[in-house]
Amino acid sequence: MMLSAIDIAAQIRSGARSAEQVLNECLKRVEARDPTLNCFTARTTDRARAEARAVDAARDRGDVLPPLAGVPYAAKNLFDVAGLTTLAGGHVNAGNAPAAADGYVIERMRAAGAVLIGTLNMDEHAYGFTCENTHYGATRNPHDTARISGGSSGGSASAVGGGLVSLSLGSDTSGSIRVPASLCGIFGLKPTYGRLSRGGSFPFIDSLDHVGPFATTAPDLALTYDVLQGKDPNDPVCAQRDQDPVGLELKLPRGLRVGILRGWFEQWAGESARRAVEMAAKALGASDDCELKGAEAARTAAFVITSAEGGALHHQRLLTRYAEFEPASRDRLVAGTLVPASWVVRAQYIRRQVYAEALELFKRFDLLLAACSPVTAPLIGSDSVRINGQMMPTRASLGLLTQPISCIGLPVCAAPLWPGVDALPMGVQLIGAPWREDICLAAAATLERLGVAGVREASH
Amino acid sequence: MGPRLQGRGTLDNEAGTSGIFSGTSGYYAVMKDATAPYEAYVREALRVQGFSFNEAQIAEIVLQFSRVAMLAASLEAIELPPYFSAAPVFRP
Repeated sequence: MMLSAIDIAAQIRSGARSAEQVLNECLKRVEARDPTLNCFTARTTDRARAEARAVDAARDRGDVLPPLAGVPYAAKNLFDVAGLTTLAGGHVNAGNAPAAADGYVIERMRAAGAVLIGTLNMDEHAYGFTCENTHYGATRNPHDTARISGGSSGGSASAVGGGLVSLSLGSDTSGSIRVPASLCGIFGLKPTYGRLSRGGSFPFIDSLDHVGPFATTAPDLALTYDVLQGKDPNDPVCAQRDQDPVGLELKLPRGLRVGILRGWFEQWAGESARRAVEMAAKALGASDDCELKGAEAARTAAFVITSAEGGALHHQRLLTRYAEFEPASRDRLVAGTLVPASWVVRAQYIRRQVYAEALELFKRFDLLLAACSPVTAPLIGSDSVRINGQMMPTRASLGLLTQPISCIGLPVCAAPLWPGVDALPMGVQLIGAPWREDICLAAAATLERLGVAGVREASH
Repeated sequence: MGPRLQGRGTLDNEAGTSGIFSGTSGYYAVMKDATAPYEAYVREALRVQGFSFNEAQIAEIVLQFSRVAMLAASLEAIELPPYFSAAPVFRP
């Protein structure tokens, strides 16, 4: 089993292994497994060697090493990495000039001593939940390579779930961290909207875009989240809040009130999803059901806003370079350019209304529970999935349970459970009130300590 | 003229009311006849925006637009408080 990031950093700090040794072992794993999984679209090996050597040199000098010193990681290819063209999963972007500088979160990881080994596959422009990219291939699920990784941050999730790296970065507009975390059986964090800077990342839907980390343990996730925090004037949405580290203790407050989301979240949860929620609820001592009024409306609002903003973002290039766009999403983008403004404004109003409903719910509860995805990982190429007896389109349906939550910007930690329905993982969403990532992460760590949630070694 | 929207459902009406997910016949049956009201709008809007597509492409775009339209329709009848503003919610 792969070491956690915290353990890797501790070994390097103690001198048990050098950062360069750790890097070489990591690169060997990537060489061995990535031809099957197809996580990486670019390797940054020269940069990684330089960063690892810098860590080793700092240790040799007796410097105090930063928290992720020498830990290899990789990032979804929508983040700017100096010297690489930022693909955002798009062949249409491949001719763009290389990024002149690292994006904000890449810079934060570098400052924390982490070693970037490459960039990772995704659905084109983050518009999808399957990571079946026509131009760069499908990223495969590490627990069954005939199945999808989920998306859009599929490369990020599969690379961690497959043991290639212990940490990765992704983005989540409507579920693109939580869905692949669920399908690949790892931890993922979608923070509060505005908590982490999107500066230096290729946008998808400005009203809904979040960035966040993936990890093999809850403490690794918490540490990475703390590293990524900061004020960034280059992202107008980024909260001008002081850093608020959650630390590594990750203890739940006494008397934690946990609500189990029913209604929409139960209606669209398949058997594995329902079992996972039951398991998490039992472990957390939760027995109170609740409903988020307007959950369906929030999902609908997210769909409408996504359509319009996505279309608007790519409008000019769709006029002239339509054929170069992903066939699976280009007609959706074109349709989005035709959406009347009144629909979008209405959808934004609905967001606020449902947000108000959520705040009411948080007067009664500290944490809400729901599944991450309606079903476990579908087969690659499957157009439809069966959810509680209804055949539904795969691409549109995997986000049914995540879209209402990201639409209103709440922080969510995805924790991997193994309900035993089909030997595949299923994530639960641990949903907190705005800016309460600490509770989400503590709940994930609690489930992990209790042996209810956790990463399992990939089968391939 | 754009598509005429008819709202359904309220915030209290939680389960499967948006049309696209309603009933037992499921998504595919609902979508089968859903595109007709929007085709003229899509064709004209594409022309105004300067797009030029073949008939197969237009049919797919009409289908995609119809999906958004059906969902958007469900938001229209939701009652909102007077003088309601979206702005403060997502200002961190």
